[in-house]
Amino acid sequence: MEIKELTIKKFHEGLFSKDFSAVEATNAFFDYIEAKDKEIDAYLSIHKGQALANAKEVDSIIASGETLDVLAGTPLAIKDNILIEGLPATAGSKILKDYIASYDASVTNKLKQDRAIFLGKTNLDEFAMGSSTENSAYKITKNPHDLTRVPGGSSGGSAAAVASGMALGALGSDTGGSIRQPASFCGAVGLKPTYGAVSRYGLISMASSLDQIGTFAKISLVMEEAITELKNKGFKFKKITLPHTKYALSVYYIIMPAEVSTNLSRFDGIRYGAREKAKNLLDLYYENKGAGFGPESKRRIILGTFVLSAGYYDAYYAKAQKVRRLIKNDFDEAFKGVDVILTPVAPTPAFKIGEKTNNPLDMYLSDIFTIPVNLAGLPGISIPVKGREGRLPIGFQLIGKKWREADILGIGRVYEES
Amino acid sequence: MDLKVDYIAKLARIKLDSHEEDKFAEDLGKILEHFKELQSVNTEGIAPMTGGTELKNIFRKDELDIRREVARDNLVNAFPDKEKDYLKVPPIFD
Repeated sequence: MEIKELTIKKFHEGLFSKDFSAVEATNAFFDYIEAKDKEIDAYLSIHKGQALANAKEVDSIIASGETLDVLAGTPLAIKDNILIEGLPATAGSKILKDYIASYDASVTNKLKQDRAIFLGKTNLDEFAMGSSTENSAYKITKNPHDLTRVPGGSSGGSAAAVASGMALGALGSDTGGSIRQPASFCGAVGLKPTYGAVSRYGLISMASSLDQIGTFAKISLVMEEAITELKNKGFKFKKITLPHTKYALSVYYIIMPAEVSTNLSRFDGIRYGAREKAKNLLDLYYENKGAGFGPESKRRIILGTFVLSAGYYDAYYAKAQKVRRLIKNDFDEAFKGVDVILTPVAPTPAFKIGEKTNNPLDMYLSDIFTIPVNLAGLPGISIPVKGREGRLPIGFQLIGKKWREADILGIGRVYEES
Repeated sequence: MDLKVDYIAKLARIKLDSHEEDKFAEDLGKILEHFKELQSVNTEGIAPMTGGTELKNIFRKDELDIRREVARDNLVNAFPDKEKDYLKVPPIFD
């Protein structure tokens, strides 16, 4: 079996039984990226020098007989809205074209401590706003299963990299479905943990009450551990209703842009990022945002500013926050009778590139099954449906109670092994 | 629905060209139309959900956390314009 087809666990075993070295594995991934990414366009930047230096360190530690974490030497891809000190972090936006991250995100810092290897930074919709990765200011990522189709979004680069074997695992972020939906489109496992379970420090903020960092893999590592807990349990199914989730799209497209419009106001060209020429400070704000943000970012800034503006706040923003509570209450009620909720991830498999770019509302509907999970702050996972060889991949979603990632990972594993 | 895109853009301090203004007026008109469904939801006595968790703020001791210390030079080097090590901005008044 080729290295790029291993699971993270098998990779770890191979590395420590010296079937291959970390440097060999890292080089193999870069060779493959060089050949394959020309057609997929999953990566915005690759960082060979740093990755190989870190791989060399891992090899010398292994040679000395010391033990290392399971992620040591594992080649990973990181979404380009998560900071790694000294490397670019464009967030898919022109406004951060030449920006070099000043510090590590908590997640990348932890991965560094575990001696994971960062191959590169992956493409995304500008500031993680989109469902197809077509809103990137840099390139259009293609679905590895059909190059005329989108990989989903906004973490489309991470999903495509993992699904095509250009990384063993990847980090993404999920505000309304941005991990789970591309995982479904590309045939990978995508986990959005419980809101607040993973630090957002060093993630470029989109909508802070919804943003969550999570993972992509062929098969999740944690599943292996969760399996023991659930293996001997029999699963029973029953129908449930979530009556207010039909309003989730409206609620989300009020609350999210409201938070976006405040979070994105920091890209004013004062302290970092691109700065346009301007005659005075006020002019700089206008020029910088006008030139730096792409159409979808502008659309959401305008929408968010509107729903927060005097005279409309109560009718839109405050109303949406109340209905958000009702949606969360529906889940609380449903979870009195069941442990896990199963739904589709997206209404369709991967759609064609360009198919929905002119109709934002149609694009927004791509996330109709994943959005309620973010509004309620719950963990959700996308698991590829089996037996679809020769057809486009599609995932199903498991939604767990708060902090019960083990339930959804464990059931996912039982399904994959059955 | 009275959506004045040029006025909202001014509030947001963002420059739009006339093509963008027209396109957003059209897009947002449709989106706001979709939002009308919320008016029929009974939310009497429902407290707004203002964040992603029900957790209360907790405060750590105000002490230096070396892991969180960002190298000063990294921040200074990121300035788009500077004189010596001072951040330079355009004049506030003309």
